[in-house]
Amino acid sequence: MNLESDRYRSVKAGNRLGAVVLVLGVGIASQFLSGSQLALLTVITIYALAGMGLNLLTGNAGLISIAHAAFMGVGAFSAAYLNVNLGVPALPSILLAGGIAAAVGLLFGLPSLRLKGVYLVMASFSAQIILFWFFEQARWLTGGEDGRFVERPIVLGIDLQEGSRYYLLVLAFAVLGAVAYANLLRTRMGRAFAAVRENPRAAEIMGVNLFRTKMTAFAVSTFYAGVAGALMAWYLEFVAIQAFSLFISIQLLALVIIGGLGTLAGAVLGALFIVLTPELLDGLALQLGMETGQMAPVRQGIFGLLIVIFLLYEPHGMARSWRRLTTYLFLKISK
Amino acid sequence: MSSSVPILELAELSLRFGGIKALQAVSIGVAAGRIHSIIGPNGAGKSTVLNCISGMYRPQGAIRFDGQDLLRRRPHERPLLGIARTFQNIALFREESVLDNVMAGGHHRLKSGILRGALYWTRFGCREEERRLRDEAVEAIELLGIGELGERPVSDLPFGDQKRVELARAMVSRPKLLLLDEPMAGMNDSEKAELAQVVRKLNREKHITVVIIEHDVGVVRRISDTVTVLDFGKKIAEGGPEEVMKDPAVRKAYLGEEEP
Repeated sequence: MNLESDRYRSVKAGNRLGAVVLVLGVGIASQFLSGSQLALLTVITIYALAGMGLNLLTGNAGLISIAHAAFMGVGAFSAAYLNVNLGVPALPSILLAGGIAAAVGLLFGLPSLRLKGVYLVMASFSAQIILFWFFEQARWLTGGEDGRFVERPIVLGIDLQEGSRYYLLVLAFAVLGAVAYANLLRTRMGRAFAAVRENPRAAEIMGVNLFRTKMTAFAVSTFYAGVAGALMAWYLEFVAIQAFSLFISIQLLALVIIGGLGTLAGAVLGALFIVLTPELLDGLALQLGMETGQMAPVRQGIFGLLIVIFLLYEPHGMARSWRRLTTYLFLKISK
Repeated sequence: MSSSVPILELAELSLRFGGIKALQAVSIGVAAGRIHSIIGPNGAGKSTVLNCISGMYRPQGAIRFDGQDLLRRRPHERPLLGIARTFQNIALFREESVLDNVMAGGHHRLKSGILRGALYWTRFGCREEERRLRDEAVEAIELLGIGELGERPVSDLPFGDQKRVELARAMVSRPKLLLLDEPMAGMNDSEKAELAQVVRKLNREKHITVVIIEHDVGVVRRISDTVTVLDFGKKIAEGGPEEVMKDPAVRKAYLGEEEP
């Protein structure tokens, strides 16, 4: 077409190359990290995957959920039950866990046909409450308040007890999820999600079936959450239901808002921010010689403050700053 | 003006909003291949007629299109039947790029769902149909003179260009019937003339029947085969453009305001 779009394409190609380098780099680095570093990396990667799912629903289709940790929980306990109790192999267990989470997600997505905005938030709030109550009650599945152990699986003959090996499984799912997400956004369903978010009435006139499109968004989004939950269960090994509480759901929502709504980079950057910021603040507090007791409130306060500052000065999220930076660097280099 | 078979028939449409009678027994027949204008003062019910055809309102009466009873169809089924439209107050997907907006018009023609979308470049993927649609979208925006704006988010564009994006989006749905609600609002005379050319071209070359709401009497005279005049939700005249403009009731209700 023209120059502007050529430049646009080469920036996109640059991003793709960067993503490949990032994945390879992280994959290699993960084999050499210390235990605590690897733990952080694993949680970031799992949250990034869950973040993609929530971003598809909230950022792309415009349907807000504060129940995504509960959907992760559905995936986590489903996979644990399938693999540990029923002896289903690990990979089918993960995919089935995603499927079960999607089925539950569809059920709790039904109100979205009638409810919008804050009212939909309240509907997802009740989904969180109901599912969490179920986790508390279903001791045969979750261990209730005591939690349960989940032994790490053997996948394709490889024992994943070792954290660095297990991480490669997590990374593989995150990469598959990222590729699928990026592809979805640029094709027919991605446009339909955007249409439903931006102007449901016009979407309908363009031939978008609102019911099917919203339900599809819920199913895909909660499938991601379910898979992320399954991976989280095996990472934790000892799974407490608190890992899927309302607080975590809201953290996930904060993740996509701060990272950048509706973008892949947003899910990844948001996960980095959500996981690393408290760690860095703790490190800083230690350096300043604070005691553990004093640290927690200060950390939470500063963390909250950072979120507010972000919303004020970069309402489109870190992905927007990141894109500005990479585009700028790219143009500098290509000149 | 290939035939006089009505492709669109509105029979005795009536619609009330609370105490207001928005439409009162309005009947309009549009022959296939025609450009049919609906004119009338503000609040006459012109947009309401289009909204009834697109399924946003449910009036009393009957609407038949191409042998189908439209009032029994859901709004999202219109594009499949061959009906596309633009809106008076612009209904674009504001955060999305011009091309993504225009490609949304092809939604009903593509088949790919989640899986074929996610597997984009594989054998099962939807790359081919996506590329074809993209080419068609580029062609449409180039025809409308906004080819260089493809990657820009529509919220950045001036009103007139947004109107063009809407028309391009409607074109990409390959309609048999195109409903245009004041597509030339906010344009100057030469821009209006260009757009009128495009509408004519779509009508003559792609055999698209057009129903257009337009205030500019000059444009209406030039492009219309037939004209319906509405006033306070009632049809007060219908016929060829010259004939209608001479009608005393029309001059009083409508033209009287503009030509003192």
